[in-house]
Amino acid sequence: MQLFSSWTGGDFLLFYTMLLGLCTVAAWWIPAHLREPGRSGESSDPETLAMLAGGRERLADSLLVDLFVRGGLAAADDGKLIVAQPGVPATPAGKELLALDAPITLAEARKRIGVHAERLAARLRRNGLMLRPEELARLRWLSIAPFGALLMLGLYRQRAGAALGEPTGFLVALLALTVVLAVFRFMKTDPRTIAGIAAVAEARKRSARLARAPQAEEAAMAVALFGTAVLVGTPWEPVHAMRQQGSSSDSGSSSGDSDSGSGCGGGCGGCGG
Amino acid sequence: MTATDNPLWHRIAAHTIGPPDAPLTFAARLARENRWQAAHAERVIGEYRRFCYLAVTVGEEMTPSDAVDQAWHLHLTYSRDYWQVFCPKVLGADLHHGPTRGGGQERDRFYRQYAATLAAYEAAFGEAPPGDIWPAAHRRFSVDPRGVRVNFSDGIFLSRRVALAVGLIVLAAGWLAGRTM
Repeated sequence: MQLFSSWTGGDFLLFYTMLLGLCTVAAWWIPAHLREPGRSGESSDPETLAMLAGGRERLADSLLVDLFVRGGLAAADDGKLIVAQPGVPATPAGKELLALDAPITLAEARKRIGVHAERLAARLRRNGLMLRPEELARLRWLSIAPFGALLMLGLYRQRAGAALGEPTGFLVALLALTVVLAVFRFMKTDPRTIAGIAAVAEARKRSARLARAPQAEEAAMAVALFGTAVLVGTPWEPVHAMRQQGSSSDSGSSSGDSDSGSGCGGGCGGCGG
Repeated sequence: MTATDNPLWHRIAAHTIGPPDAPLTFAARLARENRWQAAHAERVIGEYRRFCYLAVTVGEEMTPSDAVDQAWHLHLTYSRDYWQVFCPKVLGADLHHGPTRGGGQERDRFYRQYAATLAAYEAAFGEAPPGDIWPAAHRRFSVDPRGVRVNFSDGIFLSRRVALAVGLIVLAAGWLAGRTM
């Protein structure tokens, strides 16, 4: 128990805080640089890209907007979605959602497509775009290893200090922060390979226009790549509102003031002057 | 054939709106009325030309961004140029301006037209429209329509950032004054 015994509590806290900063940098550097390269591949269908870009949650969002655009789902009075036309053509995952008879909740939607999401994930792993479970686990543990080492060091000093009757409240708070950061890093580790990340980036670049104003047939792809925020200001905003239920939404109201023109006999207007 | 290979596009690109030697040119007036930099106004006019090309060639109603619409509005006030030169001799068609009748259905219609315009733009010109002139739907249909005509002689107008900064300074000054008195 001699290590750091000559250090004051303040010295050690400063040292620990600096190491915590370095560990945090390392925890983000490691997954960025030690990730499996995977295999380059191009995905073009919304379901695959949704799974690759945002996992099961994004897949559910993309399916919901696809069904909403095509009339399979409609907005209910309470801001939820209900099945309006169960018979609209849909993918197997979409059919799972159309089979729901009560107002659709996000949790239920995500649960219902679980099997399809897992199937898609397995295909993405085979194609080298997502990490295999053992690769993801290794990356997760590697990412939080610096936090683990730091935690051991801090615990050692905390126990030594407590044994001598020193106040260790600040150190305990820093230890708790270390655990929180480690858990966050562990849970939020990106499950994609480098090739998978690049595939999504390339698709986003290729479809940048969709982030501004997707057409009806592009809505599912827009949500797959950019999330439901792209639906704000569109006729399909209820899907975003449902997604945001329970949290504040910035959708605002729309006035609908616009102008249009065509060279083939559109409406005639004028603004004087 | 891409847009840049089309003779129509070359005619549109070559057309000058209003007398170029006037003390207040079309571009300068557009910049003044919208409080834009001259370079931005020129870019908006460039996008207006592209919009006109699409409106004539796509074969369905197109919807411009608010900035492009401002250029269109101003061009319509140059009525001799617009109706006697630009439409018949440059576009070869009458390009009418149709404001919304209001209501939810119109809103949906204009959104779909705006989305179709962006898609047609990309197809014709091989690049996405610039985001600062062709903004996202939320900005186009919820924020931009709130714009109104104001006269700076009638009042004091502050941007949100300046107003917030002034408010914070006043608050801090009040707090300090309270502490010292």
